[in-house]
Order: sequence, then C-alpha cells, then structure tokens
Amino acid sequence: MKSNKLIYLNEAATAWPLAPGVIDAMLSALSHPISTAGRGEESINNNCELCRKLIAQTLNIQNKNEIILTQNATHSLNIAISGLDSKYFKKVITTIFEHNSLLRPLRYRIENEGGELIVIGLNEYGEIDIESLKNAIKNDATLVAITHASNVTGYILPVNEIFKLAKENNVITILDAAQTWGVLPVIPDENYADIIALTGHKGMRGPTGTGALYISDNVVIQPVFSGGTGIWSEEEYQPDEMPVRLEIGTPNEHGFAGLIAAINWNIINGNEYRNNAELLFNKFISKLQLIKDVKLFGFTPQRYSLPIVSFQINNWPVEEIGLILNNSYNIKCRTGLHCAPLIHKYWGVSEGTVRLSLSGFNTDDEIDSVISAIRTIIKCR
Amino acid sequence: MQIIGTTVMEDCLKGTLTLLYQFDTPWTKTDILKLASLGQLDYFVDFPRPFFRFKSSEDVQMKGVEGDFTCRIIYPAGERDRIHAEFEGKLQKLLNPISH
Repeated sequence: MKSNKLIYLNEAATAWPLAPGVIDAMLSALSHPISTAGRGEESINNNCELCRKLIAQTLNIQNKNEIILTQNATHSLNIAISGLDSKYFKKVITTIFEHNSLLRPLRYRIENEGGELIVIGLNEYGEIDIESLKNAIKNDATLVAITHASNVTGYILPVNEIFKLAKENNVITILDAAQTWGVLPVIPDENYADIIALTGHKGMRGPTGTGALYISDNVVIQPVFSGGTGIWSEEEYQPDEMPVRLEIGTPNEHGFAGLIAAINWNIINGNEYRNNAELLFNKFISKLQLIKDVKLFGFTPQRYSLPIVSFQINNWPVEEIGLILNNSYNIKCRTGLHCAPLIHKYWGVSEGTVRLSLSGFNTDDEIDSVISAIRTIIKCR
Repeated sequence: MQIIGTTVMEDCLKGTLTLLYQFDTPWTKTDILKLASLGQLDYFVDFPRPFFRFKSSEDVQMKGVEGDFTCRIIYPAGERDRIHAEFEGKLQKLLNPISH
C-alpha cells in the first residue's frame, strides 16, 4: 500500500512546520527551572517578559504593558469582550466573515446587555459592503469588532478605513488578527485598533497555547479572572496594574519561549516565506480555476488575499473530499464550516467547504500533487 | 476486527449522529468488501489508499479509507438510537464473527 509524503495545507488552522528554532527554544526552556516560579525580580528576564517586549515590538508600540499574554486569539477576545463596560454593547457592528471566537462571546454580552448586533454582508463584488458598514458606524454604533482577514477565503478586510471612521465617531474598535499576525502588518496606530487579539500558532508559526491581547491604554478591561499574580499579594482583590490585572496563575513559560524564537525567525525570514506562499498560491489557484467541476467560494482573481481557498467539487460531498485528501493522499486540509457559520449560510452551503491554506514552506511539487489528487477525485465519481 | 471506541464528530447536521469509530486493526480490502452484504458499497481503488462508502437500507452511511484504524458512521435522524444499536451489532458480527 502506498504511503504518501505529508503535504500540509491547513495553515489557517495551525501552522506547520513550526518556525525553525521553536523546538530548540522550547526544549531548552523545558530543561531548566522556569524563571517565573519565584516571580519578583526574576521576572525581568523571564521568557514571558521577553516575549511581551518582542510582541510589543512587532506591534510598534512603546508600552509593553499594553500586551496581555494569553493562550490564543479566542482567549484574548473573551477576556476583552467579557471585560469591557456594558455601554459598549448597545450597538455592535461586525461582519459576515467572523469566526465563532468573536461571534459567540459577542452574542453573550449583547444578549445580556439588551443590545443589538449588526452583521454587515457583502456587496456585488463579494467584498464587505463598506457603505452599509460606514452608515452603521455613523448611526450610533458603540463597538466595531471585525476580523482582519477571513479564515475561509483569505479576504483581507479594509480595516484601516473602517476603524478610522469608527474612531472619528468615538466608537471603540476590536481587531481579530488571528489570521494576520506574522503575515500582514498589525500596528494599532495604523489600524486604528483599540484592542487586538493575536495568536502564536498561525502566521507567526509558534507553538499552540500562546497568544496575546493588545489593549490601548485608553481602554479599561475589567478582569474576568482573578487569582495569583506573584506581586502585590497582600491586596485582597486583583491589582489594577497592567498586565497583572488581566493575567493570573503560572503562565505558559515554555510556550512563550517558543514564541520568542518564532517571532525572531519571522522578523528575519517572514517576507521571503510570505512571498513564496504568494507565488505558490497564485500558481495553485490558476490551475484550480481551470478545473471545471471545482467551485470556488469567495475568490476574486484581481484581489490580493491570504493564501487560503475554499471550494467544493461537483457531486462529491465535502466531507468525503476531506477524508480522501487527508487519509488517502496525506494532504492535510480542513472541511466543514471552519467555525465561520455566517459566510457559509450566505453561500447556502450547510455542509461547508474544503479549505486549503498554504505557506511558504510548501513547494511546486506539492502544488502539482494536490491538483493531480483533485483531478483524480473528479474522475472517480 | 473489533470496535474499541467511538467519538462524536463535530459536523452533525440536522439531527444526524456522526461517530468516528476506532478499530483494533486497520481496514483491509477483505473487511471493506464484506460490507456489501449489509447494503450498497462503493469502493474507489484509484486513490493511493482506496476510499470506501457504504449505505444501508436504513440510511446508515459509512465512510473510510483502506489501511486506517478508523471510519465514520453517520446515523440518520429518525429512530436514530434504535438504528444505531442495531447497526453496530450487525457490524460487530460481520467484522468479528468468531466472538459472536
């Protein structure tokens, strides 16, 4: 029986391989007593503090205490949305592209506060309906919370334009940068973002269980969790100071050791790998478009997007395509709704799509193998 | 070949139940072809490891790949629990006749 070489096309879920250096950094961290164990002055040079500083550097912000270390973007969004004042949930604007990591916590807060959620759809070009969005912002919006890029189609939202208008109307802004940190510039000042959720295990190619939350110092987030902080232990309640205000318990020191290595690798090599991913994606999509039984969703050739494509094949159930690609060909992909139900509902595809997401670590040969596999599936129906 | 565990899968639609079955040995061509006695079997040999799809008269679907220790079984919405119990019994008997 044939044993195919692994072809990894599930970058939008979790990057693989990890950035070079991550495994060694984590092994080294695991091999020594962690420096946060005693907290106090030791914490100046521990992996968490070094990582916090490095994350701040990638966001081009001066105050590293605006960065909260978390487990992932979902964790970050929950801390932010659960801790914001109730006044922000009267009229919330979001989009049809959103992931459940944003939608679910938003719905809980909005229902509890008796507020309203406005979901902005697409225009005739398959892009976000920017005019409707602008009107909604001007019409007493209290919060705009959107993704930087779709995890289903790779579509990059015009965040700067949207958030600039929001700030001109004194509306607070939350950016879900799960798909873009390490891939596109994520800069609070340029994005006009008050709050940004990041994860370490996607574009930055770090370990799972690492993430961060940027909170502008003009925004107050009430702690959702309380407990040990290692400092100000005599205080009966959670300290007000950032970042310990929102960080509790012993942190994922080993994971953040890995994320430091990933960020350092990305700073030096990220551009080269992103360019390679773009070239491969263009090659892949140009071949995929020529296969007449393949139906692409949300793809527009003229528009730059992340290297993600969602599709179906005529007369083949989505889950069977996924099973064949994953288990028979060893081509790792994802099928279903990708935790983004609204865009699939808009397309009318309750069974979801097959999603392939590339990185600069893929190769021309791999792309050819995937196209060949898809052609064989079509031939076999 | 025995069932050693099941896990509920995430993409269950409109009342159906999709379970991932784990077996103690991998699916072989012989095991797959046995399924034909329980219903309609499609066996696709053109892939690096053949894919199979099965459907019973009560609309139970099975999907898997030769060489895997797992397969998916989708039970229909109506009378799901009864069909589930009956089909699982039939499958055990078919794949492991000695213990029955």
